[in-house]
Amino acid sequence: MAYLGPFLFLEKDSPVHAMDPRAKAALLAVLGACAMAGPPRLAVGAFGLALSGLVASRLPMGRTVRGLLPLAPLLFLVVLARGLYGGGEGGPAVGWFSVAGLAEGLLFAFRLGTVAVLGAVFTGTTRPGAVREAVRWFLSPVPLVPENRVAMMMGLTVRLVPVVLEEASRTRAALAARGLESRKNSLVRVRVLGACLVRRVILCADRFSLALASRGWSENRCAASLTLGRADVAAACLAALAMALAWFLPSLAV
Amino acid sequence: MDDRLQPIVRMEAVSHCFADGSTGLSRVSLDVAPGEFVVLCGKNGSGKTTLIRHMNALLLPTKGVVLVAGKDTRKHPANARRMVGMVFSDADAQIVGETVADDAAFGPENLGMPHQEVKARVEAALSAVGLSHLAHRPPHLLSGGEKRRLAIAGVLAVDPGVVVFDEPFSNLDFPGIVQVLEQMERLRARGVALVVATHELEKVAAMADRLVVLDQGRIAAKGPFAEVAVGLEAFGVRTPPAAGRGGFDPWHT
Repeated sequence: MAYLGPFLFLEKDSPVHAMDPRAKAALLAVLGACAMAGPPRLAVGAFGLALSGLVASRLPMGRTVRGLLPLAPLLFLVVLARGLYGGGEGGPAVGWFSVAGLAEGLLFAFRLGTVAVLGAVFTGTTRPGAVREAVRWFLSPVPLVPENRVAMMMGLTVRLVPVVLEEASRTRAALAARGLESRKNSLVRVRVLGACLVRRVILCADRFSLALASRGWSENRCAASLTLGRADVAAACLAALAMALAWFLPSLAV
Repeated sequence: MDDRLQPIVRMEAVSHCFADGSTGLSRVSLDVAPGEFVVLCGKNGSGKTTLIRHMNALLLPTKGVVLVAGKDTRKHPANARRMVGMVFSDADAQIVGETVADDAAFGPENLGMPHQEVKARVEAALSAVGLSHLAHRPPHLLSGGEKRRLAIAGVLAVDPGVVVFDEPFSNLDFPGIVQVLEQMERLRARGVALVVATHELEKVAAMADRLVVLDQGRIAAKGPFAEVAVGLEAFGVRTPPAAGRGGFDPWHT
């Protein structure tokens, strides 16, 4: 069974779950931007808010941490790569790694980890349908963009991910049963698996399109109701304001 | 006039040729009355799936005409899709929502119904198939039987007059089969016409009114189930064990 870990929606009775998805998306954008592009203190602030959101959401902490663990090797590689090829030439070094580069890598890994936690809180507390409706709402004023179609495509992509993972797992097992893994050339293995998988995914997509047609897919679908309450607006504005102040005030003071 | 006299689906001399020139259906005529339970059988490639896809306007006839509630599917495909709900053999392929409730809401949302109406229909449909407690679960975490029930809920939410099942028992274990049969019985009790394409005749024998045997895109035999369900091996279908010995029991297959 395909497992999507911490990024799956989990029904809970929490204030974060109750927030309007548009306010959450706006917060995600602001905090994500601060975490990735802001000064380090802002990244720390965003991480603190992400952790607070995680606690307030009542999502199981263990599941979230375990689910995010597969990211650890990637973050570790980022630190190593920055240590090897990052800045700090001529400065202190530990073997082949520059201390400045390692510090840079650690900061970047911290930023990526913060964004991952933010994403886990957002997707864990927001029904996929609500995310779709939020996307539709954000796109509706944009001219020449078919917001209904984009939102539907997004929903289908979310739906397709576990199906594709399931297909990949079945295809891999079927090919292994026929001795593919005894082939020494890994390129051959990848080519055969890839070709089979692409064919099966295209068949899946074809069946999905049939299902959409049979269920009367139309561009004039009714939109689900979203309610942007005062608390949502206040939370989003406060967080954005705090981040903006933290970003700009120190530079103004200088 | 008795509604049962007016077919809800009427196929008149329907032929269908595929793009590669092969013939899928050849002059098939078939009526389905409201509340009727029609079983389609035939070996692989006999045209069962092609036939039922014409009822839902997924395929349009090359020759002949398909009328759903009196309207030509060629001119009114949306009417056919509202009136005829389709449950595919692979339920996974039919489920397009990201959660159980989203999927059940898909059809009513397509019809542009008000949000409250959609919500009420989703609750009723999920309750009818016993999936209310899983409303917020992602569909890929459901069992095979639950997925099939969700596919039925998605159809029920649109309140169709006919529900078409394509191989409804494939890849299901015994509890899954029992769940699907129970749903069929409930649909029947609500007066919904059922069209079921299957090889496994013994499972639906007790409920079926009529049996239609397809062979090479043509109707080879049709009539009351008990009369037609004899000597089906000639058409590549296993004759149900109880045929000709009085009575069928779907729970002992």
